[in-house]
Amino acid sequence: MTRVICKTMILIDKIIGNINSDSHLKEKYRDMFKSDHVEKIEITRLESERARIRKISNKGTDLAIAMTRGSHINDGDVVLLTDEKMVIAKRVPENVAKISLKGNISAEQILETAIKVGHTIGNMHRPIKITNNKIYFPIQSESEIELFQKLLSNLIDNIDIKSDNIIFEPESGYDIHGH
Amino acid sequence: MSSNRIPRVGIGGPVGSGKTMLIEQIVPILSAKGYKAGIISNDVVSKEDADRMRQNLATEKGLVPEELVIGVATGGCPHTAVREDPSINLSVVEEMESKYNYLDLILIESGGDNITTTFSPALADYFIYIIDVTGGDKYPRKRGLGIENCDLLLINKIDIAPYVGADLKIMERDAKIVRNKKPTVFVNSKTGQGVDIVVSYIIRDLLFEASPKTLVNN
Repeated sequence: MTRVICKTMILIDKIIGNINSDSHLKEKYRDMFKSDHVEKIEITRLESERARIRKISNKGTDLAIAMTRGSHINDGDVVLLTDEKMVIAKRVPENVAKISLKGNISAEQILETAIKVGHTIGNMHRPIKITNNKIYFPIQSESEIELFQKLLSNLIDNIDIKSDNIIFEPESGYDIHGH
Repeated sequence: MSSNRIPRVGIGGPVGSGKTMLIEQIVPILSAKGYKAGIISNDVVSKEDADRMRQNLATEKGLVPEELVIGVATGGCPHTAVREDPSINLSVVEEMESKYNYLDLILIESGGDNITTTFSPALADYFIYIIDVTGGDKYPRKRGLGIENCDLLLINKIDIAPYVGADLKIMERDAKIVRNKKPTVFVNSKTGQGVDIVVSYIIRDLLFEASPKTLVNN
């Protein structure tokens, strides 16, 4: 048996706040970072959508997170805050495809292109994010860029498909499909 | 709401990889430790797996009440019933949670599917993916959502590895590379070899080492 028993496990039932949106926490984070009291847990996108997970921080703090169902863990969330430590959730960047429209296409072509691109991505069950006129969706490897270039080959005069590595946060409502 | 939620394990893997047999091995070990499990088994058109588990674990061994082994016939692509649209499974899980609050965990078996199976985080809190050696030792490095993203990867049928020319060392090495340090366990779900390790991961990473509810309450 390889069972490891950690007697110092800390139960977490809710997120304290987020350093990106709470200025008080951000200040606290800066102070504690300077004095080397900040720890982090690394969270993938799929893990970020979970309400229950056990994670060990980079400094060995053992955290058992069990929140209300439907809760998410976002980048910058403060998971634990004591006088001695602040534990922050850090999202791991992932491979994505980035589709952008080429500049010189007509309104009619934009409509057709947008619908076909949306249809193709939806057919592959991918969540999407749209920012600055670019469509992002997760891929596992570079070879999937070739796949999407093939699937969208009749639109290749209208669009560019490239790979990128980013913290991908899906548009809400476009992460999973419900009926 | 959080008080009546029961931790859920999703078990996915290709057809014939050993999902049902794994559950038949896991439940007696959990049961001996006092943990009570409900079981939901997805199949495409039949309820064959659920019927078999009910016969084995409920009727013959008496480890689980018969009504706590539930078959779900998904129709179409079974992965969609646990990944994109888990609503059928969610309704069964939620009914189990409200009726049988004494359960320590719920095991959800996906219908046999391809390597892109994952469980929606809305459905499962912990994801086990099981493959076997018959696909050859190239299997882990070929990647796939299930292999890469699962919390625990199981490589089953290690007893026949020599006969199909699968090198377990290669599988272990490649699994480590594609899974970014997440654990992989070799099992033989026919004999139960390695299954105690699987159970210890479930108790540690899903149940957070909590004592069985019925023991605490008595």
